Amino acid sequence: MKNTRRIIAIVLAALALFALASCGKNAKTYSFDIEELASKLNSTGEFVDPLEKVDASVVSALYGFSDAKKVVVYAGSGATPEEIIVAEYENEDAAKKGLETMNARLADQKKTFDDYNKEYRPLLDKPIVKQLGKYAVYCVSSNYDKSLSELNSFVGD
Amino acid sequence: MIVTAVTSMGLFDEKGPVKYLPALYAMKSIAVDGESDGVTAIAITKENDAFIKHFNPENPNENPTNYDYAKPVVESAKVDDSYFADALFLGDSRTVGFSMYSGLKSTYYAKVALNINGALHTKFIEEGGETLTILEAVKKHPDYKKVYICFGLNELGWPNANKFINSYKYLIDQLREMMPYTTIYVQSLIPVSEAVSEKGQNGVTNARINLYNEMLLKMCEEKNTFYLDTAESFKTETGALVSGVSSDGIHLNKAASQKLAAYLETHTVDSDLAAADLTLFYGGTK
Repeated sequence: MKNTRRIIAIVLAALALFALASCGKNAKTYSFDIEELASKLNSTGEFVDPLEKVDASVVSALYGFSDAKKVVVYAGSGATPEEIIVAEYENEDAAKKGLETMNARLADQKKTFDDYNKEYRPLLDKPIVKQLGKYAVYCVSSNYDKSLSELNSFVGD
Repeated sequence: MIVTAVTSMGLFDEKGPVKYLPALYAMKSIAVDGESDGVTAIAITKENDAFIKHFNPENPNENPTNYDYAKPVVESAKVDDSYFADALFLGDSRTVGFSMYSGLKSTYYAKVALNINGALHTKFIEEGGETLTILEAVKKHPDYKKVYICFGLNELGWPNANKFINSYKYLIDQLREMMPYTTIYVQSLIPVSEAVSEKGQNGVTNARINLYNEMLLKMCEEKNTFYLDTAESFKTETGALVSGVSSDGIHLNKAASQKLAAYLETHTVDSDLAAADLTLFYGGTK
């Protein structure tokens, strides 16, 4: 009986190790230039209000991604919630926090556009808010599918 | 009225502050010197050139420079970027866009869809784990030397335009109380495109904008604040927004934001005039 238990324990441990190893093997490590991605999303995406790159010093003052290594933002004139934010962090844990900041921005924008330029409010129901390793990506465009496909093709997903 | 104290903030009677003094003058005030209009006048040292130049102790209620607040600020020599380092911008989505694209490094308390009532009551400024209203944030940081205000776009549909102006005046009063030495600029409303105006959604028409601008100018005259006719460089002959500056006919694009910044850089009041502007509050009874 004792031996059976020991064998089961060894088998389970081996399975757990195998599972962990598999996970490690499948976890993708992303590495890309965030300037390039943001520019690509902007040039190939569809935006009612044309987006412009926001100056880095303004980004740090207005957007609050203070923990990020680098952030690139493209924003419109304020007429619509369309926007691109791509941030790079030191590691995945930091990027997770960046994602929280992006989700907070999304919630805030939803609140704003509930009462303002309501015709653009639906755009906020289909946003890209995604963590890719040490990167966090936020994109609200007029064509979610096109933006997502561009993102996936850029990062090789 | 018996004046019981002269402080760096102004004159006080037994009930509290009754007259506010501008910083330059108040800080230099050294002695009581005669009376005017029932209120003790203040003698100022010669160190304060602006005061000496403009102030008439015989009539402290007189506009010391004869500056005509009923007229927009005229074109002046271009200031450099440092002029805006201690400036605070308050406004709605247009100011949000301006903050991103103008290139002016200032402080911006602006929010999409914000209106003049929201400016007084909406908590949206994040600071040290708190969310503050504009007035609460200013109370914490009253050291700005200039304030640029731009509201009105989201209030065009209000049935009573006077409510907009009354709230605006209240905002100015509150700011003045916290920042008695700060020069306040009020920006006109830039027009919208012909198409947007014709649609007239939410009361957004150029006729309404013109009415609001007239009321803002009148308010500036009453409140001794500087009116900036920013609209002038964005108007067509028919009074609509010029083409190529906006994707939706309302909000300014990057190039237009930079054009607006250039306008502000070339429409400032000199320090003497700004100081003289503040002397008017010496004559103003709270």
